[in-house]
Amino acid sequence: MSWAPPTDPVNKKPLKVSQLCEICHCRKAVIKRPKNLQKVCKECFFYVFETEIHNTIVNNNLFQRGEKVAVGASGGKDSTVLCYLMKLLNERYDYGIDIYLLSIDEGIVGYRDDSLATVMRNQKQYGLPLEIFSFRDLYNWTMDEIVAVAGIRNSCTYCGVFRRQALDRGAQKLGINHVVTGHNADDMAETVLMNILRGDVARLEKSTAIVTSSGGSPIKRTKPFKYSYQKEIVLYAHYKKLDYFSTECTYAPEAFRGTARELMKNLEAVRPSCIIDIIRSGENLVLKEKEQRFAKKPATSSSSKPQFVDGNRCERCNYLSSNKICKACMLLEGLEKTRASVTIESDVSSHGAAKTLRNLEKLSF
Amino acid sequence: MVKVKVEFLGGLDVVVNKVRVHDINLMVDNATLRDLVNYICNDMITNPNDIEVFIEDESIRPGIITLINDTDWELEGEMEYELEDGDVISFTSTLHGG
Amino acid sequence: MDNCQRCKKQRAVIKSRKETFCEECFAKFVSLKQRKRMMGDDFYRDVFKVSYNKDGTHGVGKVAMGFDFQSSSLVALDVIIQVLREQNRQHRGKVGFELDLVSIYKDEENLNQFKNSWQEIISSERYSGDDILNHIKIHLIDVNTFYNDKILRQILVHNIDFNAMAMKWEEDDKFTVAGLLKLCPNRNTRNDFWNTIVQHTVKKFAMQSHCSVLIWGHSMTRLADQILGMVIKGRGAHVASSLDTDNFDVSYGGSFKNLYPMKDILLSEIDAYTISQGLESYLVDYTLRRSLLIAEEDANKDKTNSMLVKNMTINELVRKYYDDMEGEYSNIVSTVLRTGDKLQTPVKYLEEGESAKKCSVCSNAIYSDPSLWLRSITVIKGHPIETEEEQVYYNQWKESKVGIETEQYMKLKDTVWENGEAIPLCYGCTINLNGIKGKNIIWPKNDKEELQNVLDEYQLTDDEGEDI
Repeated sequence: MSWAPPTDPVNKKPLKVSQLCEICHCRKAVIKRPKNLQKVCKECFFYVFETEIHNTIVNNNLFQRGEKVAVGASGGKDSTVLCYLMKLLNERYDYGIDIYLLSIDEGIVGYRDDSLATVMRNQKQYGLPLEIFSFRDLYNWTMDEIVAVAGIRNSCTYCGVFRRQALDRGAQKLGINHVVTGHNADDMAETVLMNILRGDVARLEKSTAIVTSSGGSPIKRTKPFKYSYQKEIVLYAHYKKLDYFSTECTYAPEAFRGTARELMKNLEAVRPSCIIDIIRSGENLVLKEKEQRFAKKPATSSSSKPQFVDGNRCERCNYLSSNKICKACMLLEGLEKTRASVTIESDVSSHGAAKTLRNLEKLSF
Repeated sequence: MVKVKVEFLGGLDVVVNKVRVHDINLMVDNATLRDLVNYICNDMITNPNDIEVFIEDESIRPGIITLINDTDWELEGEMEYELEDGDVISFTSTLHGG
Repeated sequence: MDNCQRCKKQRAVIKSRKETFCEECFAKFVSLKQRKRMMGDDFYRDVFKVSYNKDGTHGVGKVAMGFDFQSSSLVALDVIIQVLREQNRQHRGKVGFELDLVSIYKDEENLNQFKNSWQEIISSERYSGDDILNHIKIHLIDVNTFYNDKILRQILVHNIDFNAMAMKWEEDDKFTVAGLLKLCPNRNTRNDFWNTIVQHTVKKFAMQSHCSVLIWGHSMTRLADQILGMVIKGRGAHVASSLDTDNFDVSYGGSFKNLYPMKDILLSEIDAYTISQGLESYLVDYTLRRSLLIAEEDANKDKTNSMLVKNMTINELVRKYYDDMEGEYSNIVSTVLRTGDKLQTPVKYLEEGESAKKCSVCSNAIYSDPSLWLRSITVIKGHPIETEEEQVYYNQWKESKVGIETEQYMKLKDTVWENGEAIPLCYGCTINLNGIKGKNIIWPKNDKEELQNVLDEYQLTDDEGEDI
């Protein structure tokens, strides 16, 4: 698939004072920043957008000199802008890090194969090394096959668990302990809201962390776009004419996230700063101690819970895990069982899976 | 009559037969962006179900960035903006995966 | 037509949480939920119940309630009157507590509405048959009491650093709440300030009149709006303290606790109670939801919300979201409330030995400096002037109206920064002030002295029911 940059406008007229940038007061304002409603010109926008991300990186000590850092690259807008900026800021501010692109091929025909083509162009454009790991190689399953047996409804769960682990494994194979991802402020605010609406308090407290690591993994994950608005990321890509891939995943997003997203969009229309406001709130949401929360029950000794010991490994795949069997292997076990039964009963009763099977038949041509 | 270029970006081209760039002659006097949007809904979007991907509450759906000659439409009077020959209007979806 | 699932005798007229009720059983259902909260723990039980001292005298609890003539406060009052009546009957004329209702009015018209409604309440058959209203008093307070006879300050937010300073404001003109609200850029900020002012005034009343419990009529729905609304407005750090019914309110002298007795009742249930018990005519400025009335079930289906998203406040949008969840509605509302209840104040962000500062506008505690945070994520500096054309534009700007306004702001800022004092401002209030033209408001200095300042109360004359 080819890519063409957006068209440059040709109409230029003398400016009125009210059209001028509210920072430099000398160029035409082109965007209204959702964060603070300031109208800014292209040049000032580039400066503030880049500098804010640099500040986030420095204030949170995200990088160490000499560190090897993998950028999770999907070809989408967030990760494309992330690749571009990581390279730019590393050179401008001399972080002294080695940047690699790391892509996961989930095996979704018509979606991931096209987006990987974008990643490969990015690799050439930015001159960064690229490694691709596939679900097929790591798990002997593609997402298309998983959806065919597990149904479309759970696709995001499988994809999420497998991709997270795949990124870790990929990074480890390259000897890298740090993966940066393109999660932006909108994603984070949405997650905070979703966790409140679902009552998922376990996740709520951690949902705004800028540095995380999953399930006993030695690999740290960071989010330099934690405070960056989706709108600004898209506009940055637009004005810089960055080459990114934008098609919705074949398997629709989770229904519940869908409604939380709808709420977010409405809130944003009324109060554009709300995304950053929610993140500020999220950072200040602290759970009561368990003892306090269940005050009426007798207090149990807190040390009875098995604790994660560094170096625990999954009994199946030998991958680092806080449990005996890692989450990916548990899901795989379920899938293997279903695959066996699906081959016997060719009639799939679940509507979602049946539809996907039909889609797959079409796609295999 | 006014001649403008319209672009559907960020995956939004799915609503207009997957064609990103369209040259449009709008046969309306003193045409505004609203006239263009009406034209898009009536004459360009092939599947009527896709109109709600593009429009909500009679405005461009939140989550779609509208640029008039590369300037955020909020700064140009939104739907009331008067089109001029040679204008480039772009609609970019921000909703697709990162 | 089906019968009530509780008594199995009467015709069912209300359907809530998948159960059908007759009028009587539904009233019991609502009333029981409220009483449970009122008698929920030792502290509250001691205030509300009739208790006897050793010498045979009995103690009377002192209770205040924010009373806005909307459905929740009317229903709360209705149930409280039932409780008082029962006590009166069982203890031969003795009751456990006295109730002070506090109503804040915004103008003359609003005052008259409140007066008329109260007149109707006290002369109604439902409430006037006995002397039970002797134990209840209403206090009508002008919202402008908030500004009158106070030390006023101009609070200004720095355009780049986001910190705030305050300087004494000595203009002769009287400053009013209406004047403040006029400065707000949108309904949302207006509502925020209004709620802050009303809450402050009601709490101050509770403190000054030595009440030990302050009742808020907030329904489960309203509390869920409030929790999510606070998170969305950057006030997440205050969720825990806003729901706190266990501790005394330390910002107001630490002499009373806040109670939400309607916490387990949905707003739609409160409205159904209001309709079925005939309290409708006492409402002021309120639209009832009729969604639980079985007879009107079909009419409710095609209800459309006519308000455009853009004109709604954050809390209204949250409410709309709950409503749109249809079947999931009560589930989500109660989940949000449960989540809120599991939170604690983020004291862990305070430096060791440091105590939380109080916001100079909303009085909430500040656990981490919002200006520092905002500074670290928002850059205001830009790209330099490069061409001659740009210089020409810059000069034009400087001489224009906005240019001059900006210069005026800068001058004011310099004055305030030179002569004023640094004051703490919480994140939510910083954002609100930052959105106001000129980034400043006039606000009373809220210190201990201010809390003692007398509240202007409208006195009901004899024929208006002073002798009740």
